[in-house]
Amino acid sequence: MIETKGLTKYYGRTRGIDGLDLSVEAGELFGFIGPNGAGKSTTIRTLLGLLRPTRGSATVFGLDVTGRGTDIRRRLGYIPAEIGFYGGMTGEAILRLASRMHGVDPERGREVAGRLDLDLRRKADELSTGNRKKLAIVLALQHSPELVILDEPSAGLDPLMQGVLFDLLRQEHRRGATVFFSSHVLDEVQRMCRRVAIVRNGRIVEVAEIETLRQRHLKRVRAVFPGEPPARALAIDGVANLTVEADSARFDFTGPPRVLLTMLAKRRVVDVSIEDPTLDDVFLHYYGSDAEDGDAEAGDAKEDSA
Amino acid sequence: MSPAWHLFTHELRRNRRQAIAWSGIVAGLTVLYSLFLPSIAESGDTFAGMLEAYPEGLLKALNIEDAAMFVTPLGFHVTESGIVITILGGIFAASLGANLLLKEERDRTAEFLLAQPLSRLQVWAGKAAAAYVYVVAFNAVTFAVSAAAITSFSPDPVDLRALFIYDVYVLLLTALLAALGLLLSAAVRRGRSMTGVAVAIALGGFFVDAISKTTEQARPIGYLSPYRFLDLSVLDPDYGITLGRLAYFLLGTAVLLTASAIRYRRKDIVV
Repeated sequence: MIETKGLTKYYGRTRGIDGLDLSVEAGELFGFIGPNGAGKSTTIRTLLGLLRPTRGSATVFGLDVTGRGTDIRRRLGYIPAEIGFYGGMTGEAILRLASRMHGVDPERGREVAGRLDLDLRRKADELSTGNRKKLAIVLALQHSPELVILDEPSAGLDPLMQGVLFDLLRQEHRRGATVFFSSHVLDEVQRMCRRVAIVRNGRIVEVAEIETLRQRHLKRVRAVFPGEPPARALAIDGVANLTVEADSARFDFTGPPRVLLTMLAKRRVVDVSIEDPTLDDVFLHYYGSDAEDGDAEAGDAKEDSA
Repeated sequence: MSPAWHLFTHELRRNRRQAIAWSGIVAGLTVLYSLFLPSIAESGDTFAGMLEAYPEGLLKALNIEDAAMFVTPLGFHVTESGIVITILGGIFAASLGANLLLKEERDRTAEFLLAQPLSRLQVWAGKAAAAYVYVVAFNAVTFAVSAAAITSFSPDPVDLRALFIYDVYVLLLTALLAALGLLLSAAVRRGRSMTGVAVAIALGGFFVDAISKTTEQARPIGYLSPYRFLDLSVLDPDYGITLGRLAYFLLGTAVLLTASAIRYRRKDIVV
């Protein structure tokens, strides 16, 4: 359904995505997750043809995004993170315009608007952020697309409407649509998707089933020592996110438990706790410090905030 | 109907008010200037004599080819209303073109529009076609109002053929400026308002031409301005569209439009 090979986009000298390889199968509920600036929106906009790749290739429905964009967009629904609508036009007028462009009956869009409790008679420039997002959902689903691409879809929606959106997406999925769900909020991806790609610094760092990620041999370890923890000795292969306090050390460990236990057995450990990580821990493990250190580069931050 | 047709009709609706406002302002000013025609005709020789005392360069800079021309209805129209029509028409055409594509990025509507089943070329063509409908409509209104106003207020008969030819020149000028605006709209990276740039292009072009007429030494710089290629000699019995001027405007417009379409096809839309 979606296939990218070495997909790269630079905004001048600023990295958007760099060598991104991704494969989404038809009929999947696929999550695309990463911190702001990781390259999620750049990837989506390249798939939609808003951006031209610097290098690499991307296909949707087996069609090249640079040469067959019109055919791709005919079969695709897109919910952007933020969207503007033409001032002075009512939601109904915008829906009719989109329906005419797709050559479909606007009735389906009106049904979706009804589900979302959106009044299409109101002018788009008078709508609140949440209602604009609802209108974007209506426009994305009005032509019963084969692929729905969502970029931070629940931003601006209250929890009740988020639930309605997720129901709509599941309904689309049951109809046979593929759902590509991009977000930096792990919880909503977890609720919707079976498989997820984690993107960091413009590259895919992991593609896995949500459940597999959770069950990966990643362990959260806390070891207490009689004095200052031997930080250098603890930093063996498989240890990440090591933080040392007065008499304890915390770290993530990925690898055979035997290696971890052998390393700890060689130290004077007073106490130890080894826990399965939460999904958030798994997520942060892949993000490393990028989520906090503002790695988002100018162009990418720009695009991801959009 | 194709998606491009729906975009075209949508663009017509979107730009309707702007086109009506500009056409209305120019038409109103043309009528106001025409109110002077009876008094100009009355004091013609005296006024012409007074104007002849002015340096030739200054008269040309003010669009006055010669003093005798100024005191004829058509000459007065080309000189006075002509400045208003060409400058305001130029600003209208250039700003319409310049904001056409950029407005989508500035108002964040680009993600809606470009997610539709339209190629970039179709988007460009739908918008450009709508802009040219309004450029032609603006000039048609201008001609109709000018013809009606001059014939109504002028005590002397008016050569409407010459007026029509003059307005064809203005149409060619505004078409070129709209194309220049469209190129800017496709070339500028992010969606900022280009109205100021459009005003600068139209006013700048007019004044470069005016300055170039003041002295022989300044003459070459006039060729930088499309206003240089307007033919104001409406009283000349052989007045018509010359091949050279027609080629300049048509080729210039075609080159600018082609460059705009090519640039927009490859443009990164960053909203």
